[in-house]
Amino acid sequence: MSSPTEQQLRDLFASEASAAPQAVGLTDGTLRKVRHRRRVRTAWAVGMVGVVVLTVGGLTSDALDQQRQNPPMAVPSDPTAEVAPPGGEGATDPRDGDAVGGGAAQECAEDYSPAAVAGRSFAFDGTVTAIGPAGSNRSGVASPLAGVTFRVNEWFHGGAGQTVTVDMDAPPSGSGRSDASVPAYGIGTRLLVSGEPRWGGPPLDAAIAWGCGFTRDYTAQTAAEWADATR
Amino acid sequence: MTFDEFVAEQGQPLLRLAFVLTGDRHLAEDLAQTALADAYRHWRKVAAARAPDAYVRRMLVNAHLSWRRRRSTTERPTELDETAGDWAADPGEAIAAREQMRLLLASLAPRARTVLVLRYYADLTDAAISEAMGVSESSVRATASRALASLRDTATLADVKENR
Repeated sequence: MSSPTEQQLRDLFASEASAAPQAVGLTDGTLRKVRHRRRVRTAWAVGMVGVVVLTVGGLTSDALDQQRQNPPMAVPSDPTAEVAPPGGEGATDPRDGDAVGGGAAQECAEDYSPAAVAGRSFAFDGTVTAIGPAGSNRSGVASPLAGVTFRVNEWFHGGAGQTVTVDMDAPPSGSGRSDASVPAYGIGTRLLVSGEPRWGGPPLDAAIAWGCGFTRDYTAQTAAEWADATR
Repeated sequence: MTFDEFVAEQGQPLLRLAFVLTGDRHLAEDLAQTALADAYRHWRKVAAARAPDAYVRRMLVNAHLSWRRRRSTTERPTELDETAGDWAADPGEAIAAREQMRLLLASLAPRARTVLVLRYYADLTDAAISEAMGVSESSVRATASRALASLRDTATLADVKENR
């Protein structure tokens, strides 16, 4: 026997269901999501391999001795702590080339281009206003990320609103420069940022900025290219 | 059964369930695709399951609750949005009652609302709901009972009932 409240619920839900969208293209959309996840996983795997390689390289290089004698540059004992930048004289500037940091250190899952930015789940022009703890890590997943809040100057796609927080490789400490594949940044830095939801879902759910040129220093020309590509 | 055959058969019911859970057309499509993408990844296991549709429904419910957990409750809609159900065809009192009920449902915790949707839309038994949500049957019953009591006890709902 059904109470009036229960009957109201049945009627309401049935009525809502009747307004549901048609499942046209559901298979195609699903397979696009599957391919997208594979790309994200590949990018992450490649990125983490790059970080490990750089860390191991730093440990085994002559710079290790210098780092041991120089506490501020010591290798962190906490695996979740920020990874020390690749040291030593003659180290390749990770920002060589226009794709910031994407050149020497890492192999990218997808080549940067303005058109490829349109394939990212979100893209915006923003200015860093705060840097805090990462928001996308799941328990058991340790990665050197920071949660970076931006004042959004322009959304290219995937979002709305005046501010947004995304996870990025942690900013470099001291005068060093990030060994990861996003530009060096701090409060006030203006960046063009694009990326993906780390674990899938809506564009800004556990959003993470891609490296390999997909997040880069702001220039008016590049911003215009992104705007054209995502229009 | 192939994945394509499964989607052809179960895609629309899953999408409807996603829509009733989320109340948003785009989120519903995203949610259904997310559950199906999970199913695609483990298709051999899904296809071998006793009830593949229940298996994927559980994936969908888990994804929904996971998304809700990660979002601020302030994002929860308290007004009809443009993609919500079409109430325009209903006469006045029914519209008011449904709108009232919808607002009350929006004030419930995501888990409580999900229990009600699975029970009163999907017509699942408490056992099936417990399986879909990964909780005990007693938890389902308690959650449903509290949610219904909350809906009934709301003064505005009482007004609506008096006017029927």
